[in-house]
Amino acid sequence: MIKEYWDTNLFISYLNDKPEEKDKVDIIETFIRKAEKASSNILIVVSTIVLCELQPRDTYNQLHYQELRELFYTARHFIKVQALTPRIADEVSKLRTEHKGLALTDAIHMVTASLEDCSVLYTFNGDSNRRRPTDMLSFDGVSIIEGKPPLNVKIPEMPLGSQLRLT
Amino acid sequence: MSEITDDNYKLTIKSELPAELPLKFFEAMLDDLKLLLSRIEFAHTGDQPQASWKVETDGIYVAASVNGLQGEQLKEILWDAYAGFQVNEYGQEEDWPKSYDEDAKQVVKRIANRVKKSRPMIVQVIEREPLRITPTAPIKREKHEKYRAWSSIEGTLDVISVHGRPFFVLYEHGSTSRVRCTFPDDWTEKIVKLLGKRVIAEGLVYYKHSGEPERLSNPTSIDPVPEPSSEISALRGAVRGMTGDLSTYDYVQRLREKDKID
Repeated sequence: MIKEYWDTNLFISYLNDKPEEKDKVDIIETFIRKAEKASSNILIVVSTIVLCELQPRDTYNQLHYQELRELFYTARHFIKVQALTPRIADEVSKLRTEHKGLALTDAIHMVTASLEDCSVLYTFNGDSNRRRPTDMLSFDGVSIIEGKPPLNVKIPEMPLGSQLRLT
Repeated sequence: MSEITDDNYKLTIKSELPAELPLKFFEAMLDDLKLLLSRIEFAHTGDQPQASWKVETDGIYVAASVNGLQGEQLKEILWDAYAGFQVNEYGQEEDWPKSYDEDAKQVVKRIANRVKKSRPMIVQVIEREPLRITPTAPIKREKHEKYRAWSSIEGTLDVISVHGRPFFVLYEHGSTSRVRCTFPDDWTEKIVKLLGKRVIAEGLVYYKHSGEPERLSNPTSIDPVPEPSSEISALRGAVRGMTGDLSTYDYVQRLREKDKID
């Protein structure tokens, strides 16, 4: 099984589907279609923190509630929602002491990905010219938990040869 | 091209203790130090780095060797490298020297983190006070440390036993964990109906040191996980307007920037 950790911004992009972010959303859709095949061995891991961050800017309404339940609280074989366990909390506390300025949520995402042995953490965090040292992409190749391999933090890219029907 | 052999042009990281350093530690540190100095030189000159940094095995240090740089330029590179360690140890984000890009900062953090897991070290360069990097005191963990929390486990319900204290086993979704869950006698009928189904159980969860769930006691609820009503791709654009007029990047940055501690 190949575990991929997905940061919140992938889900926001996908659920929001802004025309100006179409390229990103197309990539996410390609990834999702690949993972949801019955024969797929991909498991998308998300932290419960993702559910906190899927916060509408203006109104939390019935539609928002239902769509998130449909996405995360149904028996999808390719999604795992990982709770914030005491071990994760412990490691987050340690990591943020070592890396001042690291956002709490970023730390939770990275520690969860590491403890879950995810082969990659996909994010758009740091995907701009304003990249900061504490953005998650800056932690690519950094070992954040003793005894675990370095994180592999990447921006999702369209796999070669992928074709998506664009409408 | 002049060759500078003066030992003044070097950056040293040495242990305060006389004990020898492991070879792996030594090699990784030197690679990082050379990388750091090259990046700083590039930031100063805008050209491909010319200074080569020779490695000495007497302690950990890199010294300027064949190069096309003036002594003053080498000093500035070394001072910036030193300043990076100083900022990392005592400074604020805005204090980093201008010659530091994000990669260079990461290199300094990586070196310092290695040191912090090792022993007290002193960083030295020409015309600067020795800088002490203090190791983080090791955390003494319990040998068989375990965690527990009121939480939930999702997985497939299998193996029901009503011999003695009733329990079932949950095969956690997306892992190889088998979680033993005790339940009260009057839940038996309900549990039997859920056999083989994907369920979510709530209760007091005990975790191994690795973070894997091991058992669940004092259950408060158990419910089947509903089947999805559509493919996930049907949810594309399902919650439009989530970020208002902000891009996803800006929206998430704003959500997160308030929870930082500098």
